[in-house]
Amino acid sequence: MSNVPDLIERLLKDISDRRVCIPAEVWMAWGENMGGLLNKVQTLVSRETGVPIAAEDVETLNIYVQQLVRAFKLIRRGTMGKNSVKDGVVYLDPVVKDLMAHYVGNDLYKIALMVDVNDEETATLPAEVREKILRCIGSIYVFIERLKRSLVA
Amino acid sequence: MVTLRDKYHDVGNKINVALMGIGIARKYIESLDASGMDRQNIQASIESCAVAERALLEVDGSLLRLKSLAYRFSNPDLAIDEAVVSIKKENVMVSILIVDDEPEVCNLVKRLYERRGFNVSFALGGVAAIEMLKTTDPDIVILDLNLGDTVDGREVLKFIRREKPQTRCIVVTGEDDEERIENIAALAPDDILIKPILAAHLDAKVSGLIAKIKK
Repeated sequence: MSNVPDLIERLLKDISDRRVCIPAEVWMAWGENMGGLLNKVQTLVSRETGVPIAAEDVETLNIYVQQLVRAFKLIRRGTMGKNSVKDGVVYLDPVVKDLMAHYVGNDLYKIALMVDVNDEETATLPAEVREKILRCIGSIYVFIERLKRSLVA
Repeated sequence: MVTLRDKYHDVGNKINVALMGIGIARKYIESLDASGMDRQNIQASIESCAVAERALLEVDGSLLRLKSLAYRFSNPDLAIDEAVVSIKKENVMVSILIVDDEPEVCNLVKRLYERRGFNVSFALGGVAAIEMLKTTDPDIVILDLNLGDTVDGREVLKFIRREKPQTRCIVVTGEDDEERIENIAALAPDDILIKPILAAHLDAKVSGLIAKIKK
């Protein structure tokens, strides 16, 4: 496991060295596809801490998670050094996309499993799962900030 | 008593809601053509589309769950609770090994399949996976490819294909470009899932492999 952070740092440095730039329209598409949904999940999960998430909210959460998974599939590998949007699909520099898959893809996978497994077991989500989901969303935002720092403004 | 047939009806109802939403949206859009810009119509159209989209997403989730159930249910009028009990009894004979570097993912997938009655174990990383595979014969391995270990998922898959040809293997990966997928496919996993996935996606693949194992 120890070589993963090194690899991430190397990839971020590669983005910085190549002076990769993500244009505003791509960030807007990211915001529309993913940002809004992450925000909805965050709002729903953090609404009432310390108590389980009620069944009706779990249903809504399930839909948001399905939408997030679908939206993430609209982010694809594009040409080296170029980032663009075409027909609702976001094409990212392959290194940026790989980082996105590693961080965001893994966190979304964990969120989806947490919601699905707990929903199946009890139809509600225990209070501690709120914290875990919020940690995953927080880690996505931290990654996006790190990525932004490696990009050309 | 809830049967698989009831579940199908439930999905059918959701499809109807979605179709109604789309019909209403189309009506508003047509009237929009006739009357020019009309904010109320636009808003109504957007709301109808949202209703349709929500219903279709629910249908999508339900269909995935039904697909995994359908692999195991031969009688649609059998109560789901009774069928689940009999499936669990059969599943005890099937062993699953989860290979991932994330303890949280291992625990969640383990819970998912233990609930279905499977005999589940997990290995945190490639080295641990190879060690376990030397002494056990799982029927199915759910293998994350990017293990961040000295032994990665590809090495584990090569080991399985060389030493355990009977073991079925589902690869879970974040890599989605064609060339990489072709490279993974060349290592002959039984199935490939691209992250992020829902539990229902994994379930459908596992159920498909179990159907093959039981044949």
